[in-house]
Amino acid sequence: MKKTNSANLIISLLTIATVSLVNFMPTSAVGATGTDDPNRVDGGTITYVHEQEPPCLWGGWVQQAYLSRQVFDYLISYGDDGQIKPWLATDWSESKDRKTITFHLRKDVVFTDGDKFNADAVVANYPAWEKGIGWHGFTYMKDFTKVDDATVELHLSEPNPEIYNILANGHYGFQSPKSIANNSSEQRCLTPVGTGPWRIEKWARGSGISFVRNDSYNWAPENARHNGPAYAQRLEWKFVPDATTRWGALISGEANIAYQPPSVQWKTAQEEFQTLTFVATGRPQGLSFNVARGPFTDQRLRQAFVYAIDRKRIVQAVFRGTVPYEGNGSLSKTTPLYLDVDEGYPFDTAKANKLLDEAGWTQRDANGYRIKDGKRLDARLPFNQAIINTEGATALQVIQDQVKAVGIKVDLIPLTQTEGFAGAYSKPEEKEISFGYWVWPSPNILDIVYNHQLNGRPNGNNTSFFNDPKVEAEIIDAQREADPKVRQQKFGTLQKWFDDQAIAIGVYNFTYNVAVAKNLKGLWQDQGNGLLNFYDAYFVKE
Amino acid sequence: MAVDSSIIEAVPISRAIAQRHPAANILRTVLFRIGSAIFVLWGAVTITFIVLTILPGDRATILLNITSGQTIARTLEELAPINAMYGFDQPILTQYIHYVGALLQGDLGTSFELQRSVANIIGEQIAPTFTLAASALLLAWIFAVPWTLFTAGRGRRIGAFGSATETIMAGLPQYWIGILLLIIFAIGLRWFPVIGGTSFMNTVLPTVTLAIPLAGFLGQSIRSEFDRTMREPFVLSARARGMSGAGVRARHVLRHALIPGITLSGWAIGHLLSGTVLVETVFARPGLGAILVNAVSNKDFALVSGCVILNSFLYVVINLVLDTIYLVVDPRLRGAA
Amino acid sequence: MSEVAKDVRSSSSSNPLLTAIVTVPSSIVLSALVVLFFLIAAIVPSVLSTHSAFDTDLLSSLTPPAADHWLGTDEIGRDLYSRIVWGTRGSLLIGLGAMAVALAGATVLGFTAALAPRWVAEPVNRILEILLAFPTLLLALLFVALLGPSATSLLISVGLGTTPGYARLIRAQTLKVKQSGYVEAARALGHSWQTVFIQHIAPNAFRPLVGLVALGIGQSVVWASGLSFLGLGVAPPSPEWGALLEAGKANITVAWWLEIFPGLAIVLVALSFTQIGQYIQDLAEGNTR
Repeated sequence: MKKTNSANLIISLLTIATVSLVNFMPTSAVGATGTDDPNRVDGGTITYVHEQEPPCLWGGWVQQAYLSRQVFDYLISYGDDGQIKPWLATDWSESKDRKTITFHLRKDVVFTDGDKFNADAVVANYPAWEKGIGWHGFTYMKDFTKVDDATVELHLSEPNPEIYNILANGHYGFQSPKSIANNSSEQRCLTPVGTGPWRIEKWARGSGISFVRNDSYNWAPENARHNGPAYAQRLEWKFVPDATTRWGALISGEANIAYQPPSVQWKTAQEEFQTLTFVATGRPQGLSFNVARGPFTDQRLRQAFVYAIDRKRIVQAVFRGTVPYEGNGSLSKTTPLYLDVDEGYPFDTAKANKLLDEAGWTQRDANGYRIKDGKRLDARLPFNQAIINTEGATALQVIQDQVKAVGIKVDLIPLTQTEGFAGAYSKPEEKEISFGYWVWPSPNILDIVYNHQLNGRPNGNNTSFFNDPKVEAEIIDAQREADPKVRQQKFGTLQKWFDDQAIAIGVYNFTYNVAVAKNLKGLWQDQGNGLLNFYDAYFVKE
Repeated sequence: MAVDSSIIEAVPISRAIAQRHPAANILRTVLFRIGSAIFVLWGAVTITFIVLTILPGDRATILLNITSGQTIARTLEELAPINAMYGFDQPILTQYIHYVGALLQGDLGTSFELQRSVANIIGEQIAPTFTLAASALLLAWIFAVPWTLFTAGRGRRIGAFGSATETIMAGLPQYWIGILLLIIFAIGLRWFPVIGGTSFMNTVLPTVTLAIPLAGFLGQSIRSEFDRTMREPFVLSARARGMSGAGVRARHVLRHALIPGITLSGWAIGHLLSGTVLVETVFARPGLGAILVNAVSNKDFALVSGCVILNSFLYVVINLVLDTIYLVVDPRLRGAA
Repeated sequence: MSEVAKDVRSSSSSNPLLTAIVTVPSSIVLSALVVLFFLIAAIVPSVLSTHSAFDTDLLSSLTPPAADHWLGTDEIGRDLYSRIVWGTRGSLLIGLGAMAVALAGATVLGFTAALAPRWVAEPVNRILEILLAFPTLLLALLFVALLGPSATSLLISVGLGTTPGYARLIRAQTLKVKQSGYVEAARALGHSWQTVFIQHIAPNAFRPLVGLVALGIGQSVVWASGLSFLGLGVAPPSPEWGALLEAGKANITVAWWLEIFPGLAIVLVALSFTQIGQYIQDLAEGNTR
């Protein structure tokens, strides 16, 4: 299966070497040498094999952002250096209270149905965002108002320095006002109309989406590698759920780009293909302990659990270098204001046993599980198979096996997609540990996952059922802090506190990997949300 | 997936009807058949409705979570507009009457998850599924008939070998064959495309995958009838009249032996959704299978119900067609009709 | 199950059965040995396993088959042979249980449809017809969705999914016996309904089922593993065979053994049960002749 044309290999090794120097440094673009690559071949069809097929092209799920990014354009763009770059907005300014942002818009942008992009279009899109994006409330956006044809004001309920990351993250794209007003819900779902470099030709459900390039495109973001229409003529986006099949499609040459190759092939992918990696922002794949009720309300038990598992080795063994180990349970490596706590809680069963003994769980049953007051140390851990892949489930099995050694019994409860999306096992009396991630480009993820209330009701995203008004006030205070240095320090203190308390601990980062054929150059991943950008990708002569 | 072997023994209804009723009653028979077909369709829809209603999980919550990629419980304020929009807040009975009423006007409804009309989705997905099921059935017949002809009734050893082969084929899990075929012939040898699709080359491996167990079952059912018929007196008398062994086998015995095979084929087409789900999943092939699995997961009633109606309709039609085929294949029935 | 076996014995005269046992073909002996092996594995897995089925060993992951790990190890170093042995209980239980559920349901529905007074039999008949028009897998999917993914729900789902087919068979057989005339003759001779049912109808209705039961056990294992494959099966780290296949898929390009051996176990069980089933069926039919 490792057939490689040796002549190709030599040429491409040169380009790969620059890309895969450091495993998890942002690898922004594969082998691009700029707009004037003499070997560039215009046109052609790029075939990309992806895993999950969302119900609609647009919405609040990151799977939808991957697709929307091809068809829509955005006010601003997330640059490779982490700086926000102009896109449909040429420049912007903040009011003194930082709650109003004024955007000046480009005047030459048209939708693929001929509609014009202007202030009215921005205002017309806001209700669709509000309705279609489930977590919209966490962005603190209130509304858009038109100042003049080419100027809009965005109003916020809270100052939000990361609002720019959010607006650039792939969800907040613009559809033509005409299509919002007139098209059926089926059309808006399957073939929304944008201003982007591609438009949708056909969505064959269960198979894939065919995109054709928008020939009048001339408003690429500042951090794109070129302007004008996309280099390739067509983009075939195929849905292939099985990793081995995607890998097979890549090595047989049927696909040019494969999403998430099997971990066991990652080394080969790095050696024989080009690879791109994006570590998602937000909170990593981690364990959240139920601190509202049950045994893990005791800090010593939470810490014991963490000491009992060899997280670094588990991640290395199961994922084979495709995802990094993440110690921080609150924020992932790429999130703004992240605090590195990777060296905390080293694997130490003696310490784990000591903590458990101190906490009074001293007796053991016939199977070696600890008992206190006649109750066994049980931890129910439901996990959603739509959110955690096979390898994630394997990692959980190793965790289960390792904590058994110190006498903790973990019950893994797999949920079907129905149960997961129906919100099963989301109540405090139903579980002791939760496992999951959330892609979010801002440290206010702490507000999302630790605030016990949301609009006056229990906050479903708070899977540890944490409830401490003092700490919540500190989170909001850090979020509102105007001085960037002080803000960083405040968020750092908070992350340290959550780590010390072991309320949530990290295991690995949700990572977006792709392997790319060697004759395709210029493909890049947006560093705000990992979205693939096919616009700059082109084939080279072989 | 495995074929329910009990079906092999089923008695074709028409045989009983044809024997008991003279030709004049055909109209009554037809009317009865149409009536019971409609009843079956109605029953299937109603059962689907009831089961999907009592399935745990709130539809509005599922919809909200799918569109935002979350897995949390939702507040009443969030759910109310969704429930109102799709009529989930109406009493169950009202929802049911509403659905059946629309159905009577030929409206299959809208999939709330995919935001599309069910008729469109089925129309788009039925062709690849049907192609797959039909070509697999054809391939299974192409294998099973000569195989039985050459190995049945030719002594214990050959018969045992032929029968063992069929048993092994029938016992192979389809998705397992599929994975192995995909790894060997598509990824390893690159004879076939890896990415699923509907072209001829894309259809070969899924067809073989689906055909292997089917051929096993077909062979088994044809063989047992074949062996039974070989012991019938008329075979002996044909031989006594000087007919060659091969002639008797091909002309008389095989004809009888095909009947259970035909019954089985009808069953297989009537259950094409069961058969193709796994194969479509393994080969990432478009079709109704994956749509159905997802629709059940998401409590997408209109879509599940649409698939059920399609399947039940097919089942009813196939049974009618089969009854006709029996008349052609089995001369004893022709006399009676 | 045992009831069925009894019927075979009671309805056959002892002589042919004895001769048949003496002249058992070698393929049946082999099949019986395979079934015996897996039965032992299901009842006392520790006798046959060489390692723990659950202990992980990250240092020896994905080891090919060798002397210390007969069938190799998985991605977190668990011994595959021992996992297959420990997985037998779950897989066989699903197979046997599903068959039991199907037979129980089919017996009630089938006999009711054939023997009950019209006003009871007709509705049952209609329901059977509706269920037959349902795709089997959809029935199973619905029940898994209803009960959640677990061994029990797999067992019930597969059992209920295959019930209508068996019920129709029992009904058809019963009708045949009922119409054959000797039921009326027996009634005329003054035998009670109960006696007629136990002595004539039930044995005849069950006879063609005997072979199908063994066949169905194998098929149920295949069915259940198919549901596991769709992600609707038994929870990890349970080594149920379908779950093993599903897990092995990810590593198939470097560790073929993870996909081949669990698949072979399923095939072996299905094959052995089918062989035995066919043999018993032949015996039963031979005896009636």
